[in-house]
Amino acid sequence: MNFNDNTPIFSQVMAYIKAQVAVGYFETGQKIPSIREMSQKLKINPNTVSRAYQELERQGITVTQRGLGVFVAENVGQNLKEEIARGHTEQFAKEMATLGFSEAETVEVLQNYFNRKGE
Amino acid sequence: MDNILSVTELTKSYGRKKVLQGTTFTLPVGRLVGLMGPNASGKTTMFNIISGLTKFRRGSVTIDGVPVGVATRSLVSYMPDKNFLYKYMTAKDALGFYKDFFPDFNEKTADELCVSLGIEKDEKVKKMSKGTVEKLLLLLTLSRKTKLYLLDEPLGGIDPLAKTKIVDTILGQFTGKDSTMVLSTHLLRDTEKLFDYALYLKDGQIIKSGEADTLRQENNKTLEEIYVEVYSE
Repeated sequence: MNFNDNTPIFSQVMAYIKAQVAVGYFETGQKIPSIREMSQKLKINPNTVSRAYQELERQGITVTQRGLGVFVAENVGQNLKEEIARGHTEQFAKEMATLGFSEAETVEVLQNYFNRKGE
Repeated sequence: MDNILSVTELTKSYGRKKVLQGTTFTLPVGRLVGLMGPNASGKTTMFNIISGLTKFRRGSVTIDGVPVGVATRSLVSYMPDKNFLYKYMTAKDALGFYKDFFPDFNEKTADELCVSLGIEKDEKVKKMSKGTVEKLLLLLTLSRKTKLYLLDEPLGGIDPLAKTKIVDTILGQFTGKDSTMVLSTHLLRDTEKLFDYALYLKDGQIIKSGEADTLRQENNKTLEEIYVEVYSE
């Protein structure tokens, strides 16, 4: 995991776990690493991991079972996939607009890219 | 929230040189704190005062509500930035020394850390490299079970591999609950993700402090960028 600079680290940890759930690395009902394990793995403060975990739970992405650990909630994979895709799309659209591409031109650029890639 | 450390209007001079000039701050319990500041900003003096080694003239310092003094010695485990172990000692002697001195010294933790840090118990301090001495001092400091840990430049002047080991050890021993660790450093690249609380010391005063993620968000900068901004003014 590569941390970027200015975003709060707890939200980067959240994004990291969400991405893992979206691609199915962590499946529904699967236990995710404990705060301590995650802290050691990513080499970040356990309080920061704990804050990320609390926020994930609040958003309904994980469920804590007392004494057992933290588990991926049901049916969140597809939603997360869409959420992340939306984020990427917004980012792309914004950057294309900054470059001066119209919506139609942006779609065309994307279409051309896929056409070329398919050849 | 409970504060483990409370420093009010602390002033300390060496002769005419003012080192701390009315420093005031508190530290919440259960944090891994970065005490930031360039050389000669007063970090070591601050640590010496909090650990009860240096007297101060004005202001107050309380640890867990107790004024700093003999009574707080058992609450603070301090790793100074200079080696204080006798050269003729082996690592084993040093462990024995700590065990005799501090009733809260946990031998099991010490043994585990010896293994994970690769400390040879029979090696003499004078034969050890700088990195190994640093690891040994860290091991001794973290093997005590106390409320407040002060680590003065634990990452200074050592190679990247030893640094990684030391960071892992600090994270491994930090519980995030009832104990607080304060690390002084100016190597922010290595510690950016480690801290959840930051103190910036400049010319003997704390000029910025707070939750690391909040500081990042408010300033839209990393702790390191804030450091550059604060000290280049």
